[in-house]
Amino acid sequence: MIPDTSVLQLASFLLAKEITPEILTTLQEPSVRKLLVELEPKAEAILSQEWSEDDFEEAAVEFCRLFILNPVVPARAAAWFEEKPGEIASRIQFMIDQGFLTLPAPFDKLTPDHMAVLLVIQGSLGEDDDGQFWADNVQPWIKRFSKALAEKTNSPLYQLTARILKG
Amino acid sequence: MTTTTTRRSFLKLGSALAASAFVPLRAEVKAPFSQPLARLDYTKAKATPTICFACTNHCGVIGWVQDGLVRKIEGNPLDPNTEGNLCSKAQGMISYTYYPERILYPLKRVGKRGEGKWKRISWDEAYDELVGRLKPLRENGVPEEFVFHYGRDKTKGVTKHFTNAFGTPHRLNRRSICSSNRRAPLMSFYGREFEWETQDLENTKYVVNFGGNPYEAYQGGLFMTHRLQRARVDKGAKLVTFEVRPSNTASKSDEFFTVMPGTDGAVAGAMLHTILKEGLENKEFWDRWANYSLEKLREDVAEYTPEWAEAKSGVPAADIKRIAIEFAKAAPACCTMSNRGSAKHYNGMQGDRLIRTLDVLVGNVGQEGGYCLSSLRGWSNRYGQEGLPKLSFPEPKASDPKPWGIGEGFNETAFKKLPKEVQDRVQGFPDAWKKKYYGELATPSEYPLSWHWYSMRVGQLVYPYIKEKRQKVSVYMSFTLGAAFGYPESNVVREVLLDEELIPFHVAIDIGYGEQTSLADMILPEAASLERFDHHSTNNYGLIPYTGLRQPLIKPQGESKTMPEMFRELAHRIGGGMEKHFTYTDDESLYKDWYKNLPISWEEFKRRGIWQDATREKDYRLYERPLTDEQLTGATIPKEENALVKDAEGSTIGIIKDGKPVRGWPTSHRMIGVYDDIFPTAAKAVGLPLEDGNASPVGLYHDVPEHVNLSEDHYIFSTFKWNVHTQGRSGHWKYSAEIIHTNPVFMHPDTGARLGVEEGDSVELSVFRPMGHTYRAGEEGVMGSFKNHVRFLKGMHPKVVMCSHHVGHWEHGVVGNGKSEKTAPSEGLTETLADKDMMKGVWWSKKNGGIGGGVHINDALPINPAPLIGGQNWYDNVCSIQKI
Repeated sequence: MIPDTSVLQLASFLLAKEITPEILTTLQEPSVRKLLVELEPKAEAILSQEWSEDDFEEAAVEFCRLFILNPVVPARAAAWFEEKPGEIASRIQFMIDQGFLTLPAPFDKLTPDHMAVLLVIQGSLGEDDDGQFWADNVQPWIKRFSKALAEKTNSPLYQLTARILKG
Repeated sequence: MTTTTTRRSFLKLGSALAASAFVPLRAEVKAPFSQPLARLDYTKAKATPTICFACTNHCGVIGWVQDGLVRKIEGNPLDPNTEGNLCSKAQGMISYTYYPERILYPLKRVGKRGEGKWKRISWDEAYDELVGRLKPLRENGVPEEFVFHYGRDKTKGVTKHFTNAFGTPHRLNRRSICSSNRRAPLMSFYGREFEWETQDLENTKYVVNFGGNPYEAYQGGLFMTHRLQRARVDKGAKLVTFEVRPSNTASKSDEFFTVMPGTDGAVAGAMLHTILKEGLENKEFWDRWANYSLEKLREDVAEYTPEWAEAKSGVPAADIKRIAIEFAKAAPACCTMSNRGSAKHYNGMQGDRLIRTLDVLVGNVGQEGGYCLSSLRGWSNRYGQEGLPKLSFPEPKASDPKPWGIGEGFNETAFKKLPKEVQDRVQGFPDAWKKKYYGELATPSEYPLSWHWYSMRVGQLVYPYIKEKRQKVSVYMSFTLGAAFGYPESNVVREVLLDEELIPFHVAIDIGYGEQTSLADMILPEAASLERFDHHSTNNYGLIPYTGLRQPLIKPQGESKTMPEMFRELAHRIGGGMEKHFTYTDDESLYKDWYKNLPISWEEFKRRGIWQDATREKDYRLYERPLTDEQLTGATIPKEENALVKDAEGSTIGIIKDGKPVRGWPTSHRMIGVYDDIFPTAAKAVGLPLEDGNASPVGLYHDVPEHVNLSEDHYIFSTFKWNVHTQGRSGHWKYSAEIIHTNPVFMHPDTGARLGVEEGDSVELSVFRPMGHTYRAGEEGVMGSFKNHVRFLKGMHPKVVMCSHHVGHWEHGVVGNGKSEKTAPSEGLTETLADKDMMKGVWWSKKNGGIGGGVHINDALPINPAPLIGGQNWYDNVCSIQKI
């Protein structure tokens, strides 16, 4: 099942860049927080407290370790396919080059097969979406990706992200 | 939580988010996603010529881009050097560009240096921090505390423009690691303009190769090999190789002789002896162009009999004699070839001078099929480059910093901070050297020949010198440098880089997260070679100068930037006049301006990727060419034979031959410098005893000190390069690592029998410090050791063991370090391949039951600069071997 558009958008933010005070505010809104904690109880502590600068930095370091520098959980489709690893990147880049797709910042600086890019596109397809984009580009690797993320991080924030991605 | 509950929770979450202050971003999607063709379709893909960056050759290539991705690299037939040929390394550029672990964002260290904790920062934050550290150095009058150190810089002047504008002389390189020992003899013989030869291989009849390996790894190897093959197959040319192992070149030679390391000069000396004894010298050429008497040469080489050389080298005397005669009889269509194999020894500089003397003696220099010289600096419009228009860096020039010394025009403040011993040494230097002296990192006073011709530096001493506090460093900027992995005693490099007192701030500019970048405080992501412009020129083995353009095939990935873009921004933010030297608005405008004098349009140049006036006469006998009327305007033209011709400013521009002014060679005497007193001069200046062979004014053979009386249980440990790798820079390129990912200890089966080891056994190699007049010479005990497995190779010299030095990374991602996860970083491969392994992950990892990613050996190799010149003597190491 394709997740709700807003959930996709949230997940895409969490994968695209380090957590910001604005996103944290969203996560800590009582109605949102309650549901997130239901999904991932480990997240309760980080969603209940005020974050210091050190907390944000710690999250940024973990983000870098997971997704940026020698990433332990590469967020690019190319890293997850032994056959035709460049296929998804090629497909998205083709759309960009043809002018059929425009990505907003910060997604425009990510590689075209980045999970965050795929999720933001999926979340933008609207009511006419026939599920093909999800089936072709996201479904084949999101389970493996979210499972690896859950296994490779001890951070409650990224445990939560993995849980959201798992669906 | 049940599936139904989860689904309900997600639906509620969606509603809650929609009702919250969360503002989602949306992509604009105008058309449905279609499935582009997976296979490269030449009717749809765009072909763009550019220049390969995979190794030092820099071949003209064509990149095919489809759907925004580079799919294929092929040779550019317009490149006069390659003539469309290509090697496997070029394909590595695709994985180099796209590999998932590439650095794509500015990063800042968090926690301790080297701990591996990083966070992403914006370019503004990166610039602010860097400018905050650099600007005060300029303002406080200590710009030299900014040290820029590169591994491979093909920006052709952009970085020097920046360091000059900043005011620091510290633009350090790795020339001594590579080739200074072999460049010095060339510049001594033929002048500064000729630091690399350009043999006319397609017209040659006979090549004597002293340890060069163009069929595998050699600067210009690809350009040379196809020409040499044509000469051999079509015209019956002969290739003779002296080597310590059966390299690709040795194996493909007509004759291959296993030679004791460091004795190439002895073989060359015996060839000189034989040629003179047989009366096969070209007396006319020698007398006309050599600055040394033939009779003195005869005396010098009198003792170099073939039998003497056999005792030194192991090459049979009869073969040396025969080869010398065959070589001389093929003149002038014959040539020598040598590179690191002969030169990277304690005696390599003088040995190469003997090899160079062979060409002069038979008169093949500059002749068809002979040992030709085409200036490397084709773009500079200097000597011999009239085939190219003036192509110079177009920005307002920043002058060089003041040399360090005492007196008017010198930087006294920096000079007086140097150790007293250094100051005293420099004060005793000739004036010409004083004007070139810029402190111990840039111009190490113990190695004056490393900067006598031009600034080749002694890169392997930079870190020990910083450790000894010969130079205060406030900001250290490394650029595509892998010293922490690839330099000798790389453990010392890492020790210094980890010391925040010695290096308070280290910013690394690179594409990959390697051993060097892992020890930085900030990493700036550079655009890859397929994403940027660069100015290209090199010597052409077709002997007609040309120029080429590296140009972007795709936009820079992530937030990576080019060096011109970074340096322009930094210069403007630092200000204080620096900005006046960086006026270009974008990269393309800079390069367009740079090439404005080409007789074709910028767009046409981009379409071709190469420009050459192919109708021009080849660079044969440049030295015999008459001076032009323009050159002679205002010149003093003497009448005496061999007198120097000087221009209106008093600079020497030629020599009188047969009563007419001709160019001669760009040496001070316009002759070939077979004799050069710069060697004894330098020896005296640094206290090297004149008895040391390196001090000789003419080429001579002298033993490698630690090889004399080598004991039965000691061996010579050497390194070599594979054809698919480029130093330590390519271990993480999937295409290359697929082929070579390990580095066993190669030895002759007889050596194995003597050691009691069999193929596949593990051994421990313990390496000792060198002897002679070099860094930490003669220190007792083992300086480093490593363990590795053994491979037997017939054809190896029985006293030599060898490993390649490319692999054994502990950084550079899953390919580089040979670890395996599910990740398969082979992006860019979308073709249907016969070799399915290419589509898999790191199948050679130990986790997958493979052999793993090799052994790092460079901690166990001693820093060993050759006297005077400072080139690293990579191939002199003495070791013992123990079976584990």
